[in-house]
Amino acid sequence: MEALIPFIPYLMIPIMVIVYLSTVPIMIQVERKVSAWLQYRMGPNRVGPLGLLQPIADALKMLSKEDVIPNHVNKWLYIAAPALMVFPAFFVAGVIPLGVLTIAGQDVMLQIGHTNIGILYVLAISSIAVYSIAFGAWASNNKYSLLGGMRSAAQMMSYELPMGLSILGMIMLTGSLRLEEIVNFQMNSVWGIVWQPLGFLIFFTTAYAETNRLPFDLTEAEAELVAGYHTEYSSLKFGMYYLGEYCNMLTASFMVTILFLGGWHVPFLGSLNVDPFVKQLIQVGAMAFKVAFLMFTYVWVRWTLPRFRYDQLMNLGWKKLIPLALANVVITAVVMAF
Amino acid sequence: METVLQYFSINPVFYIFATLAVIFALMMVTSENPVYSAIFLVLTFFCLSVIYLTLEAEFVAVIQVLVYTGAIMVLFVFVIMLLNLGRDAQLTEYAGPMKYLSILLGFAILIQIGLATKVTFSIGAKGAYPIERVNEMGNTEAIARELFSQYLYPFEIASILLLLGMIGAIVISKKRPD
Amino acid sequence: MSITVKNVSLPRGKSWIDNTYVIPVFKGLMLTFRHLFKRKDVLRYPEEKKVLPPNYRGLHMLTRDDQGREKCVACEMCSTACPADCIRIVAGDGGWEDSREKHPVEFEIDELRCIFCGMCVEACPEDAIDMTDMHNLADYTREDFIYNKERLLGVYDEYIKRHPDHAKRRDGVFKKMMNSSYFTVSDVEKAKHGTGH
Repeated sequence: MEALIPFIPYLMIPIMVIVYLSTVPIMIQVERKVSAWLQYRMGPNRVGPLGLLQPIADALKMLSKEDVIPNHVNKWLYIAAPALMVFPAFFVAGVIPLGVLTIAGQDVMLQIGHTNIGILYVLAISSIAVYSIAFGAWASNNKYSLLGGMRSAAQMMSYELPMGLSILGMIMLTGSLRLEEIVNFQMNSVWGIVWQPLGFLIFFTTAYAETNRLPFDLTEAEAELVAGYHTEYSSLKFGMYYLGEYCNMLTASFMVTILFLGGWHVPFLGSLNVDPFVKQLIQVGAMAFKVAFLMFTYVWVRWTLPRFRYDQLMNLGWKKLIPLALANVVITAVVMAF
Repeated sequence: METVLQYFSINPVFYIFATLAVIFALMMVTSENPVYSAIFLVLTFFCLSVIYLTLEAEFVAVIQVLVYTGAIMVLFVFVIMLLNLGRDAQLTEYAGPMKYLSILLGFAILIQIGLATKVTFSIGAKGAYPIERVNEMGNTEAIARELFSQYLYPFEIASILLLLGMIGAIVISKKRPD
Repeated sequence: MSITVKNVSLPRGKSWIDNTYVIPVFKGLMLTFRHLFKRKDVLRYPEEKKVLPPNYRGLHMLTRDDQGREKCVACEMCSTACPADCIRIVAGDGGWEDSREKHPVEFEIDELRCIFCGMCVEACPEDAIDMTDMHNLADYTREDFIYNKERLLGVYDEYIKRHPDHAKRRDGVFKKMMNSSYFTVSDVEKAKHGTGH
């Protein structure tokens, strides 16, 4: 067993890929089913038992559709842009810890890369995703696409600031940028949501804006922009945007869990009289549960809140969230100083 | 004497990404479409951040991506798209006889840098934070300690400069009541 | 006329807490969460089918009398009344072994042109044309939607199997109900069992 320990990061690579890739079909099903239930509908129930094979049907449809490259597009960028969406979505998985296991008396972090800039890395890589949308929109040579792309560029940039500021409070409390340290801090005290309720709210809000989900999906805004940046995309290229969006949602859910919901911490687990290894497995399961709940929340919020207007979005970002996030940082600093 | 080049020669990753960075930078300058220029600049920044990583300066690498690639270049792209610089606004008009002079000057600087790195540039005396200590305490912490103690004054000056820029932008964009 | 400007202020919450929208958003989320478990107001269509009212205006049929003979006398009242001009009749002399003046040699309804207004049914003096509750018409070509006499009679044969009391439909309670402007499916059910009206 002990010989296995150096290989854990390498083993984690396929595991993370599987986690990310399997989330997408599950989310397609959840999105369609929950959307239906919230509207008193049944949702897909034809393909397979209870409609459970619907994601496979969706994927096959996506694969077998004609891949249209319109004449008026900028060909190279048009093809490269969807790939650029998937690249950062998978790249961020490199620092996300899933839990900790004790193998042969040694604590092993279930994580690909142990870097001391974990959270900055996630922020930096996920900020690249905007290029995919902006370039895809520009390459499409379509006014609706371009409008969507420009909105997304402005939106992502505006909401990155409060996002970065809102996690500052947690970083100040833990004194580390390492994701596993942040979780350890919460395991030894209470969850981050208790320490930083305001920071949690701001981060949670900006997470929706950064992943272009409702109520902040102005980049798509089907009512006004046809389909926004992916108007001209079809087949697997559209599928890649789809994939990237769900992967970004998963990353955002991981970040909320790790920063504010205690990561793999389960309350009162210490008093349970079971084998420590089983406990650690329960913790990994708890992490999965929290992330799954947050993913469900994405769909839930989608059918609760209407889309923002563009000026409302900018007002919320610059006039409300940034001052609030700054105030949160100052308050945290003052409280910590005394 | 251990030179910078010798230090780099250990790492093949450096050569790959340095070459890429130079190629992308050249393409950035030579491409006629402003959007292409922006893309190649983004790629150059990305390669630069990888070079920072080979120097074990993770914090600087990530900040490079976060600030330059993730924020400043997005603004550039945004403005280029907003102005919609198409084929009409190609930048060829600036390429006059000055082009040849600039190429000459560029080569002169290149040779100068090459000579400088070969002759005088070496890894200087080890400061308070040699690589072993940095690895021990963490990159970010080392930078923070230096920035907020020894270099606090320049740091604050830079902050005020940025603040002034922000205020200036607000003043310019504000509607005048006339 | 001058334009009057009216400034409409946004509705404000009761306290500053409401105006942060945190608690209202949470309330909204709770509301939608309850809706997750509500009864689903849908028919699982191919398995369950809606009970349509007896005056539902679906696919046409040409009715037969109690001896199975076509009632139509080719008077062309229906095609005259038709606002969409979708009925084509070629009349021939005789019919029912020469006991009648005319009979339709050809009778065609183009169901794609038809607007399902029911004017033909109203116009018919013989109750020979009527409408069914069949609404799920689907075919591969436009020509398949042109129903000729045989097909329209076939529709009747099919329909009468499902609704043996079709003849009653035109009189009594049903007639009264059909003339009233509004009734519900449950009214029809009541009428069928002789409890309503």
